[in-house]
Parts: sequence; structure tokens; C-alpha cells
Amino acid sequence: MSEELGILIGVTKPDQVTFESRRPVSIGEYVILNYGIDKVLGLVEKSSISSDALGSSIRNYEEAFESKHVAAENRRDKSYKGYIRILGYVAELKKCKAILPALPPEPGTEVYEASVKDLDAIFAPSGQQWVMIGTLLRNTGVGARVDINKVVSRHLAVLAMTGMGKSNLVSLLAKEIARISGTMVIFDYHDDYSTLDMGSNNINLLDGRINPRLLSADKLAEVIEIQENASNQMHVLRLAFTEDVKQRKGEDFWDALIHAASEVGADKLYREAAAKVVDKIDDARRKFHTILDPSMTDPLALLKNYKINIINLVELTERQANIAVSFYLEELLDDRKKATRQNKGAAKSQPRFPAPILVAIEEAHVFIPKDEDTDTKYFASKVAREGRKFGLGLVIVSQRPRGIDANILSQMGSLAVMRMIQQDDQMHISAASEALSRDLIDQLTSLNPGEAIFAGQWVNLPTFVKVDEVKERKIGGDQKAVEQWSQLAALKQQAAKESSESYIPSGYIQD
Amino acid sequence: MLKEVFLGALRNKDVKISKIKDSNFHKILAEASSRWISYESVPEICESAGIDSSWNRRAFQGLQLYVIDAVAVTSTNKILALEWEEDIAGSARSELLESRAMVMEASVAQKAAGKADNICLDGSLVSRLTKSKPEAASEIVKKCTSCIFISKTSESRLQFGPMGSKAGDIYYYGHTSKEAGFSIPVETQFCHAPLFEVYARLRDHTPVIRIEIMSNATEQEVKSTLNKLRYHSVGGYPYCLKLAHNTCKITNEDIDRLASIYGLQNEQGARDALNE
Ligand SMILES: Nc1ncnc2c1ncn2[C@@H]1O[C@H](COP(=O)(O)OP(=O)(O)OP(=O)(O)O)[C@@H](O)[C@H]1O
Ligand SMILES: [Mg+2]
Repeated sequence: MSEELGILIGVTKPDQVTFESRRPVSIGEYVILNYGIDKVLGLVEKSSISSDALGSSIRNYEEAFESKHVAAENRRDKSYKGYIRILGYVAELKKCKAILPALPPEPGTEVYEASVKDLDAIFAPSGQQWVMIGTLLRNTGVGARVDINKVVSRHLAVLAMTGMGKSNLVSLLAKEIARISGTMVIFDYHDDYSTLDMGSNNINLLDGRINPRLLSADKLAEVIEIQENASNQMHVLRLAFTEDVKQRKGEDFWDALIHAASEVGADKLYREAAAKVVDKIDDARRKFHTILDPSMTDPLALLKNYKINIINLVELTERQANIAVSFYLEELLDDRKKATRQNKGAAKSQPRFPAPILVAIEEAHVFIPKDEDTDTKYFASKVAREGRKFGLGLVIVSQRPRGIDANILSQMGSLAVMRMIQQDDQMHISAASEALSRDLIDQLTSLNPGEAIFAGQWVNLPTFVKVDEVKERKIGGDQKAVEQWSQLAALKQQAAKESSESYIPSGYIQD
Repeated sequence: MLKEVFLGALRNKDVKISKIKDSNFHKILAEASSRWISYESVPEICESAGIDSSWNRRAFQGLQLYVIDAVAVTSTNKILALEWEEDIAGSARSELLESRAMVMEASVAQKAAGKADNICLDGSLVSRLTKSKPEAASEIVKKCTSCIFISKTSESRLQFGPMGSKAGDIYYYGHTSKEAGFSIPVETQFCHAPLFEVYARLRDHTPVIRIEIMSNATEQEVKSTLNKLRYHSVGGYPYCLKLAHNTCKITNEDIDRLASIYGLQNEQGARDALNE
């Protein structure tokens, strides 16, 4: 048994007790109590230190100063109190069940520091599905593992203010999934992941591109930026975007589309609209030639099994990105349905992805917004509901939780929440998920970058975690402006010196 | 309370205060001032012990459960001596308990003697023993000769009573100035032993305390005593006395717990316990 830490005092309750400690205790520390039928785990939720001499009766600074000295020499002066939340029997927690003894512990019950062995069994269980993410925040000797099976089957939301380590966590998950040869797709809206280096060739980087031929007329209108309310232009595009045009490949497709649109313009009623549509097509063709690619084969074919597929969306507009993401989600879900049916011996064609996939969407408040219907939102909600059956997991990442659709947020079985100070963000999360208690949410403001609360199905217990930093990630950190400016200035000065030196006639002696 | 009382006080405060602060008041202040020796004490590292006692009782249908205890404790919380007494009796008058407590303090003082550089008792020897029988009092005095008695408040009119003072002497010393210092020691007799009375302020702007010293007290000796008291003092009051008070204090809760040990807590009785 580890060191005795303190003794229960005051009124005890089945789920909450107070103890007098021999040393100050930190919030988030785990403790063990022996009562009921076995060892019980508790979490220190509040901690206080008080001094007899430095009590609230002090009336002025002088008294405080004098009391400080007498307090320092009185070994019985300080009281260290810890407030424990009882979490349940250790043996049951290992099985992910929180069972509390029905009777409260007796005052006088001894409190012990939880041993690394006990904590490991709960927070870092063995088994291939448990991957290492970091350490417990207050017991850094204990590893923190998460159940990847639960992430894929029940989804995950990663929520925090900007710069608190969301992308770092997703990178870490990606790294661990690569290690176990899993398949993952990350939609990278800010080019956060392209520098992710995993040593071996586990990464498949690709640019987000859209094949206009595979779109519906409405979506094509969106990507070439025809206004939604321009009904004549929409009409022209619908007429022009014929099956015949859709069959053309490469540049031929654009030519044919322009041709068809001008033909619609033969009707006097639509002449003006047709001219505008032709302009828009022309514009889009030039402006977005890296994105809109009519010669592209099936985009799904570019994704690779057993790799981390990173789809770079940096160059896409918000609408284009939305269409790209929704397209992939729809196709991936279809493919996984096919694969599942095939396993049951019912599929007609071969699926591309025979094993489950985890999809991560950054900037989820943009793609899955609260009060707007987007394509991505539609398919994300399908995946959230049906993914479990078909092995398609969703990770949504956002620095603006209050902007995310509550319905989808509530389907996320697991949560990783880092520092968050906005009240309405906190409220939105607590309303959408019962995994995070009010008490835990109150702790969010005190977290530092890289520190997180993990809750929900991917952990045995809500846990404070210090997430490992993925050192290989180069972008994502704040740019250091002053440093870079002075570097640049130094370079410029050197260049100026060199160029002025060239004016100095040779043989001229500087003093 | 009736709000009229406050209103009346507001209306009459000047008249009432002027009864105390009459012309005599300023004469006495001037006298107090002339007896005051300005002195900023220098903390002298030492071990001071405080002695205090406490008693409480609870009545149960004609029975009295009572407790008396006394302790000597240093300012670093080292207990030098302790005594206690608890019993259930047919009667336990408060005067009796009070005097028993004093006897106990004296006995604790005797045990603690020599174990600390400086032993302080709470209160005034004189005022605590005035009602005792002479033999009992001198018995106590004998045990406390090396102790000093310190009180935060006092009714003694030894010094300014002859001038027709209305308040206790401590009041006038408190009003002369706010600076650290002490009054010229005044010698009296108590139980045929010499006793010196000194008013002192350990630091500027702290309250005046009254000190009784049972041995000879020259100015130099008073200064040395003040230096020792100054070390480990809080707000101009020795911390050991505060600790002693807190250590021995018998609260109502304590006496209830004790009653529960005797199985008395369910009895109906007059609940006339005293302390908070
Ligand atoms: N686990 C960690 N340990 C230490 N530092 C970290 C950790 N996670 C993140 N950081 C630091 O915080 C910086 C920002 O991290 P990251 O890019 O993951 O934040 P983010 O939440 O994704 O921000 P944004 O909202 O801008 O996307 C990193 O560059 C790194 O310096
Ligand atoms: Mg990020």
C-alpha cells in the first residue's frame, strides 16, 4: 500500500467526502480509500489550505506579517483539506463501470495516494485498441490511453479555443493509427497536417480537387460561384449541363459546357443570363484550374487503405470545400455500406475500403454549422447516426463549439475538451453531451495548451490528460513576428552593405 | 433592539461623551502622558509560553456536568503542561468553577516554570483573586511569582482613581498617543508581595495592554520584558496567549460531546452552557 495521505473528516456522503491531509493536495490527484467490499477510487476536486494564525480575523497588514512568522514556526498551524469525489470501485472501473459503494465511508477512514499500478489499470489498460495519448495531468507517471475502437464506432469531438492543441491531438491520433496500420482521412482546411512526418510512407497527401462532371447542376453552380438567387443563370446552367456534356473529359468538358450555355442564350429571354454564365465558367476554369478538374478519375480512388490520407483544402473556397467534404463523406459511407454488405455476402461490386475508416473534419463549425443546412452537415449527420454499423468514424474539430449543430455534437460518443473560457461554448457542450459534468466544465478555464479533459466512451473515466506534443508538426504554432522581422532586417542590412560595397572603387581605403 | 435606542444615542452622543471627556479628562491625559515612556521594543528571540484556562458546564435535571481545563503552551505550539477536571455533580456554581480554574492555572504555571523564557497568564492576578480567600490567594501567588499577567482590558483605577477618573487607567493611556512605549511601573502590594503595574504598547498603533509583574520591575527590566513579548506577538498581543486560549477553550459542542459519552444528551435539561 502506498503512503497514507490523510483521514476522512466531517460528514461523509456516498459520492463526496472531505479529508484532512498531511500535505497540500492538488486538484485532479487520485486517491484510494478502503471501504465497502474493496478498494475505491476518488478524485480530488477541491483543495484548500488554511492557517490558524493567519485566519480571517486578521485586521491589517502588520498583523498578517507578524502572524506569518508565528505560523511558520507552529507545526500544527496549517490545515490541508481535500474534497474528494468518489468515482467507484477500482475493480469495476477497470471494466469501465462506475459502481459506488451504497454506504458512505466512515469518518476516520484512511485516504491513500493511488498507486501507479492501480491507475495504469484504469487509465492505460493493455490491449491493442488502447493507444497512448499522453499522461494523467496530475500523475505524470501514469500513462493515458484511449480506446480507438470506440473512436471509430462512436465518434469524437475535439473542442477548444484556438491554439490549445486540437490539431496536435488529431495528429497524435493519426500517428497512433498509422502505427497500427489503420485508415484515416483528414480534411485539412488550414494546411496543419502537410508537414506531419511519420517516418515511413504512412501518409498520403493529396490536394482537394473536385471533378465538376460528377456534380449536380446546383453544386456546379455553387463551385463556379453563381449566386443562389440568380434564377435565370441557374436555369441556363441546368439546361447546359447535359448528360452529353458530362461525358466529355478534360478541356473538352469546359468547351462543351460553354458551348451549351451559349446555345441556351439563343433564346432571347436568357441571352443576358447565358452570357454571364459563360463568363463565370470561363472565370472558374482559369481561377480554379487546380481545383476543378474534369479529367479526374474517381476521387475516392486517390484515397489509400491503411494510410493517413490528408486532403488539403487550403485553396478551396468555403463552398467548394463544403462540396468536396460532403462528396467524400457520401462516397465513403456508400463504400463502407457496400463493404459491410459484402461481408454478409450480398454486395455486387468490390468496395474500395474493406476495413473501417476514421474521418477528421477541422473547422467543424464551418462545415457543420448550427443554423444553416450544408451538404456536409447532411452527410455528417448520416455518418454520425449510421457510422457505427458500417465502420465509419467521425472526428469533428472546432474552436467554436457553439457554432456546431447540436444534434451532431450530441452524437459524438467521446469528447476531448481543452481550455475554453466562453460561457456559451461551455453551455453548448454541456447541453449536447452528458459525458461532461458541470464540475468538469468549470475546470476548463484553468487548462494550459496541451492539457485536456477526456470524457465519454473512449476512456474508462473522465480524465485530465497532458497530451503528448507531436514534435514533427511544424506549422500550427504561433508565428513569431518580431523574431522573423529582425531576421529579415538583418538580411536586408547585409544585402545593403554588399551592394554599397560594389560602389566603392577598388583601391579606395576606408578609414 | 428598538430603533429608538439608536436614534436616542445619535441625538445624545455628545452630551454623554462630554461626561467622560470633561475638564478632568484632559488633566488626566496630561498626567498619563507625563508618565509614558516612549519605547519601540526590539524583538528578542525567546520562547514564550501562554497559560489559560477554560470551563463550561451543562445542567441536566438537577445534575451539572462540568469541565475545567488549563494549559501552558509555547508560541510554537509545544504543550508544556496541562490539567483538567470533569465531573457530574449536584451543583457547580460558576464562582467555584472560576476559582478552581485559577488554581489550575497556577498549578500549570508551576509545572511550566523554567521550561520557557517567559511565562504569560491571561488576565489580571489582582482582579481574578480579589474574591478569593486570603489563604487561597497567597497560595496561588506563590506559584506564580515568575509569571507575568497580561490583559487586553482592565478596570483598574489604581493610578488615576485619586484624580477622579471615570474610566479605567488603561483608557487614558490608550488616548495619550498611539506610539509604542510603556508607563512608569507603579508598585503595589498584593497578598504581602510586591506587584508592579505597567501599561504598554508593543508597537505603534496597537492597543495598550496591561502587564502585572510580580518581581521587582525597573525601567530596564520592563524594556527587556517588552522585547521578549514583542517576539511572536501579533497585533501587539503575545501569540502564545491566543494559542493557549484556543487550545483549552471548552465549547458548547465539546460539552455536548462529553454529555453524549455519559449518555446524557437525550435528557431534557436547562441548556445553560456558557461559551460560544
Ligand atoms: N500537447 C501539447 N504539449 C505542448 N504544447 C502543445 C501541445 N499541443 C499543442 N501545443 C502547442 O500549441 C500550439 C498550437 O497547437 P495546435 O495547432 O494543435 O492548436 P489548435 O487548437 O489546433 O489551434 P487552431 O484553433 O489554431 O487550429 C502548438 O504549436 C504547440 O506549440
Ligand atoms: Mg488546429
